[in-house]
Amino acid sequence: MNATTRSAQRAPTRRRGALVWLALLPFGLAILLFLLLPTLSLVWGSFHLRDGSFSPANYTFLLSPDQIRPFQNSVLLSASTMLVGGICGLVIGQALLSSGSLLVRELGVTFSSVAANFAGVPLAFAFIATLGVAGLVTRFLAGLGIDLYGAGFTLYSMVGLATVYAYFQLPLMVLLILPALQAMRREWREAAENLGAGRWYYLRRVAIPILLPSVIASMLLLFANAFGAYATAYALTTGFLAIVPIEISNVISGDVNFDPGQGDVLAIGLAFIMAICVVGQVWLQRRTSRWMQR
Amino acid sequence: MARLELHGISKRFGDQVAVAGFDLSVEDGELVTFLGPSGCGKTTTLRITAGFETPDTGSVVVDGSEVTGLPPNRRGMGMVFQGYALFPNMTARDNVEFGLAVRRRPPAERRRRVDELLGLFHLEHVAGHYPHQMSGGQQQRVALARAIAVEPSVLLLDEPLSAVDAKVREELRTEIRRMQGQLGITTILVTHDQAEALSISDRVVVMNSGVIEEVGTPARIYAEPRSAFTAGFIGAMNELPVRVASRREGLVERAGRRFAAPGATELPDGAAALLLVRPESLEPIEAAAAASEERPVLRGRVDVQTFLGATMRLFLGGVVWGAAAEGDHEIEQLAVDVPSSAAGRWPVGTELSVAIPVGSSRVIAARTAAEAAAVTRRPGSART
Repeated sequence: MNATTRSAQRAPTRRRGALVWLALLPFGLAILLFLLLPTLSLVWGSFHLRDGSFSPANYTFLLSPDQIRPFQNSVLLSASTMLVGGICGLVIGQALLSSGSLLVRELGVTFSSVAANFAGVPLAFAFIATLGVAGLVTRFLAGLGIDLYGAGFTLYSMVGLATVYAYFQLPLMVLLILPALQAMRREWREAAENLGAGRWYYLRRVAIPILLPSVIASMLLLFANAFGAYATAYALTTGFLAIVPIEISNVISGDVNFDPGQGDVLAIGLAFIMAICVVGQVWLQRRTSRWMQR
Repeated sequence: MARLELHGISKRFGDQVAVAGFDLSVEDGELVTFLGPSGCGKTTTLRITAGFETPDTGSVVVDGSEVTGLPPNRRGMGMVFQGYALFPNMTARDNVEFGLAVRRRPPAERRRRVDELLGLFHLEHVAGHYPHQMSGGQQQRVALARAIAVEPSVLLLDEPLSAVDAKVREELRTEIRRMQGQLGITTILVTHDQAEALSISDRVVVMNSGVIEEVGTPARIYAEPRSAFTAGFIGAMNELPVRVASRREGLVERAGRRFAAPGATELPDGAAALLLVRPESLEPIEAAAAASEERPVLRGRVDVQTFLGATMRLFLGGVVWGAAAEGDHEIEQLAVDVPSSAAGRWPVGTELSVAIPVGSSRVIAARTAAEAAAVTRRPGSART
């Protein structure tokens, strides 16, 4: 092959390479504008006090008992809705597959897709209309002699908020876990049975170890999903419940508490926890997808 | 090691008959293959034997004890699945050990048995590998080792070689036969690959549309197929329409010539029949000698040559009976195998005469009324 032929061949390869970079440009811009720059701005802001001076003092504020509480509440709320949504979603996902009916499965997936995206203000009002003090379900139950609010339940509390979050967490889990459940091969169960294993032995040694990384990965996403949710919580509690997203809103929009530096520190804490969840999810998902190769 | 009996097994899925009236006894230490096209019921029969399907009627008996109602985990059978079905979260060693762990065998015994099996299947170097880190052939070896680790009474192999490439398939085929012979384990193998069935089985069960077409040794099934389906399904076969001329004398007739053919005594006089001749049985003869040839002769033009290694398969078109064209009894296509070294004598376009040696053909009843009619009207064909 002579030099002219080689350079003639290299030219289209170079052109293709340039086209690939051009196609990636919008994505790169989006990452820069909506992820990198805001993150840098957060970091920069977190080292500046209200008077504009440079100081790491905001980080000591993050460790103060007052600011630990929103994180504790957020972790509690996210963990509880992650567990409830995760376990119920797993059971419902398996039930949809076990039904053996394509129609039931499709209906389940469609409902889950809608419900998982039904959040924010409309969801808060839907719950106020049903489980609020004068909600339809509350009044119906009262008619049956069950006094929800008399028994200590209130929608405008952590328990109430967790109930509302479960509404989108559960279907989200169904959507996230269904592919992993579908990838479980009937032959694994049959092979285990053939080798003498009972149902529980198969679950303990084969099914659960295979599914566990996917279940944990999906639940990490549920955790992150709940941890970052703002609109539903704000619409329901009008900002009095101390969770991280509401606390951020309080320090950057309030007149009395206005302190963008503290908001930046809270946001960095929130982003840090979410990043751990996402990295963990990606790692576990990769591990599972390697297993699923034949 | 055990004797396996399947009595009157039938199974339907909705309106579809999967298996009907299946009866078979597999002797202790025997390797029997269920051979047939997709949907013939072979895998269903295997799954019924393993306990993964319940038969509508019939029973499965192992060493005189009925196991039809027992769940798979209490039948003591080993099974190798089509797609290996190795547990992806376990290494090769853990997979092989699984059945022993279920049985709570002592750790030292487990280790010894697993080492022995990994050695038997040349898997020592991948003992710590996960399934996704192994080749198809290695995975299949692990699946085999796992199935026999628990010393099952019967070994069931569901198309075990269909997912591996040709070279590995041949190696594994030999390995399965060696292992089965060494351990003397009663084995049923399901396959749609005739070469696989013929090469490793003690007996072959040819299945079609849920029923057994015939059962026999590979040599008998190949040389003397008793049904048109078997003849067409196993190996390449020329099917030449003829008519029974004399049942008493065992003669058939075609194009005015009568000749002896095994099987003719089993059919009524005048019956439409098919003369079955393997391509390798046909003997090329010189055109000049064809006229004086005592044996039945066919003549045609070489249309296509296919290289098969040691032999070359010639496909003849415009084939007629006898040394010269006689009437309109033309045969669409005839396959003839000749040594590859001699194939140069008959390039595409040349005329070739072949004789049917005495005893190399067999006559069976024509399959359908339509085919019976075709005997007087039209062509035969070669199934390859």
